[in-house]
Amino acid sequence: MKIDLYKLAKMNEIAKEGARRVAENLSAMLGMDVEMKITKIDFVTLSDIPEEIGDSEMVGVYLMFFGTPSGHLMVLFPVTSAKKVANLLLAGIGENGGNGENCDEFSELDLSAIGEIGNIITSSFIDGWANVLKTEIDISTPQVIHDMGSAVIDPIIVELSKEHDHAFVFNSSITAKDKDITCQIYVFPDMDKLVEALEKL
Amino acid sequence: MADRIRVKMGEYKVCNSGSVFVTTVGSCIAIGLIDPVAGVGGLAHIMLPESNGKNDNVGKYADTAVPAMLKEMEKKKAKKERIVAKIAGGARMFRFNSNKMDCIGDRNIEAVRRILKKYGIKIVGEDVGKNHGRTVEFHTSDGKMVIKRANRVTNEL
Repeated sequence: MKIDLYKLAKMNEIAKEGARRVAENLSAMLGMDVEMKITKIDFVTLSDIPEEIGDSEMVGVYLMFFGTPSGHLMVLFPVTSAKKVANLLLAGIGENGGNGENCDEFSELDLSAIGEIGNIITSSFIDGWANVLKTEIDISTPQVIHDMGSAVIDPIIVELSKEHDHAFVFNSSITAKDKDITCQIYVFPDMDKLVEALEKL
Repeated sequence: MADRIRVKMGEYKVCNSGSVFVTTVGSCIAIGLIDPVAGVGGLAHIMLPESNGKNDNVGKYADTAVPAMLKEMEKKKAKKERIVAKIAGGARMFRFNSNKMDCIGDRNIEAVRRILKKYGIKIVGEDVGKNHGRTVEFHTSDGKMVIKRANRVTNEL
């Protein structure tokens, strides 16, 4: 596969556009200032990713997207951030009622709230892409996994590894400073299809 | 204290110096092999059942990792008839079973059992399936396998 510099610049642009929309939508939804800290494109050895993420406890939301391009996406929250997000969204609802930041366990309600945030992050990101690429992209329903970080990312890595040992990943980091909430977004687009979409611009 | 050596996804390591190999698996499987008499042990972290003829990355597939590890152990004076296995992993990482790729954990378990049987290696301990990740410590000094989940010990094989 050949990718010229112009296309890499264009890819950078779509990554940033996706990230910008995520920050915008999350700010509105959580009612606080949300910042997109890093957005970068890396070419990685897939088996290195679980090592980088490590074994600390995390909550991940996994989604697939279909269209031009298609691919896999994961939003990964450290466990404390996941708890805060659930509490913010569910303030006053259910058994949590905004407490329990230190509690390890997540209720079904917590997990579905986190899944919903993952859904919004993904839609925002993908809308940003679809807009720049002028294509239509659909997304799957979110799967929420609460486990050690490297085990959370495992299904994506295994799925991608069926075809390749390396991949392009769009990696972004989101922070809501006020509440000390962070998350990482990993997007693995099908590069052939992405390049195809870029060709058409 | 014995060395702790990390085994990455798709890798395998063999030693005769009593190291402790450590890896974390979700739907992947950790295969620990040990010849307790020779003091030779190894740990593989396989990702997929079959290589389908690919031989670029032997540690990645169950059907290529097992013979490669056996060969290296035999080079270090292990005897195949004394080698036994302990396995852990093969989880279904998704809570909802709507996705076909979710079967990969089950397929890995089935393949690892079949391949170990093919090489005449007995499984003397296993902690597989369910829906959670596992950190696996394999002690090559005595073949003990300690399984942790988010830093809590959950099983010892």
